[in-house]
Amino acid sequence: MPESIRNWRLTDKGIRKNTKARAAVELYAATQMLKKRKRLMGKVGEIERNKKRRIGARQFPYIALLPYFIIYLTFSAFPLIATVGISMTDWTIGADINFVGLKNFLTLFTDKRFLTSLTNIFLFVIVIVPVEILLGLIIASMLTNKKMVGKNVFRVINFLPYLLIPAAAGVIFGQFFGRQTGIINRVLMSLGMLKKPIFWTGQGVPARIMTILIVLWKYCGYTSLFFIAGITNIDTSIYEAADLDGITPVQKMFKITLPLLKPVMKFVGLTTTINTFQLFDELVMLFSTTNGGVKVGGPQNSVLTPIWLMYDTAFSNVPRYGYAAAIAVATFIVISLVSFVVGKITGKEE
Amino acid sequence: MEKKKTGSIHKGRVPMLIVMLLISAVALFPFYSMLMMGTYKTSDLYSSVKLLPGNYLMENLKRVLATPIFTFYRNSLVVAICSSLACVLVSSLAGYALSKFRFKGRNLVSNFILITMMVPSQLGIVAYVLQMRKMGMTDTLLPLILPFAASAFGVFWIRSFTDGAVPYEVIESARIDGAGEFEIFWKIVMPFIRPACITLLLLAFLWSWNDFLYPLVLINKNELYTIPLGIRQMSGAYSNDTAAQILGLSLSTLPILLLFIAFNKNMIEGLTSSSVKG
Repeated sequence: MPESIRNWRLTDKGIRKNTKARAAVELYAATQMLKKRKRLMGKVGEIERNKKRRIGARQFPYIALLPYFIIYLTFSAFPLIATVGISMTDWTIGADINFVGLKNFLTLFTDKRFLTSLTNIFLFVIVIVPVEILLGLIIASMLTNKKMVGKNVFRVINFLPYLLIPAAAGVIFGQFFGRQTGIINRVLMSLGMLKKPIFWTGQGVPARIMTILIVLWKYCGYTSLFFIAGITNIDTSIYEAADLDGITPVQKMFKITLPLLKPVMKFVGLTTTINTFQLFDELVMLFSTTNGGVKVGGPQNSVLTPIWLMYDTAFSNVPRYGYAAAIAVATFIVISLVSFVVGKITGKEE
Repeated sequence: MEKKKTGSIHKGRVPMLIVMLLISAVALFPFYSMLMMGTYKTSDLYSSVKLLPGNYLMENLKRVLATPIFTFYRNSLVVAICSSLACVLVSSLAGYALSKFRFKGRNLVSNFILITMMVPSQLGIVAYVLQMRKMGMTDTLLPLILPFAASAFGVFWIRSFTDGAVPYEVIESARIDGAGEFEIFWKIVMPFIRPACITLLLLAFLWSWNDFLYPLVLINKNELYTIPLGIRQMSGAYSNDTAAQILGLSLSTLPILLLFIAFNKNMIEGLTSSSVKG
């Protein structure tokens, strides 16, 4: 017992006689001693910590997030916000900049090209994304099957299309879909399925089909990779338990694998949708003409995408930054609305 | 695809293999065709479908080398290396912070980054270009690197990997031993998340190498063209030599193909050992 308390106890006769009170006072004194000791130790520890490093666990996360946010806010967020501002002007090169409010948006509302670009991109997304997911699942299920040989080789091979430079893909597939000399037409005609060569790059519907096929070619291996990872992560014990109950392979697929892959499907669906929205590179090369120009939007604007339109508006002969910015903002709003609605619908299904 | 559960192994195997071979053939054919077409003389190119190599490879090669293709290579390489390194560095710092630290505003930050992931960054390109012009950075390679450095995907990728791969006890014991926070990050956490970092490095490199839109609007000087711009330059309007041009395409794509084939195992490791949920 600390000396001070002992001394005090011996001298105070009144409390010495009342043991209950004495115990209470002793307890109080002891706790005070402990608190003081703890405070001193804490101070020592803090001094030690401050001596060894300046950045504690408390400050680190903020510092670690700083690079990301500095770069993002300055070079991504700021331009996005500025785009909104620019969209409300009539900024064209060489002329004065005037604030025009929502006039650009009103014009957009009736701009046939813009509306066509929206229709096109939604058409592409609606067709491409589900097919991509389906084919990805099929390929993944084959490549995670015990009976398959050469899984690793096939996996790599199927991923390669994703790596092809989109601009290069545009040139190569332009060759394949050439009217007279392209492989596709030649094969189809020699198989008797075609009497006249299809003018893929010159007519609306074939151009769309061509675009869809090219995008599918590019992404199916990519999606399959994510599904392979997802399937591999599923605990085999689940299948073993189901085997004990004696289920068919079909049931296995639908009742176990697919439900467990739902998060992966969501992720893949989201990323491929965003990717498809950004369709641009291949199209520019597919539809560039021999005199150096580009048939923007393809035949009758059948493959015009919002980004392509925005690029053409802002960076062609007569750059119209204000209007281009309005296209960007309007596209973003439409995409967000649709995502919101789709999200609500799929959320309800669950 | 499995026809019968009972029955010899071979019965189920063959049809699946055939399907897979067909799919692989479709995947590979454009590449193969690209390689083949580059070995012919342009005037012979359209006479028939090319399935076997021709004899014009050297000549086409000479013509390709006459273009500034090595300049394009150099530019693309510089941009891609810087982009991917910056992306991994920034993303791993941010991902680690979000994963292993509880701090005020953590959820806010996380949701913010998640939302930005859904916004295609190309929507801000008009303002970005104007911003770069104002800052005098057009016709330099720097603006090509910046969009890839702050990648929301990268942050979440590293974060979900760190969630699973780095045990908190290791970090705690390092702290008790008196290690500094950055020391912990470099010497302890990074080795644990190596597979994810390698995968991210490869992906960021790929996206940067293949990117077309940003260089298209930001670079006008021919000496600073990246490979995709070089492809555009070599094509259609600027040259009638289709075969040589296609050989150029093959050369442009080959590095990426080789890179990914070489690191294929690492990529799969990175993908399968994390929770791929997004």
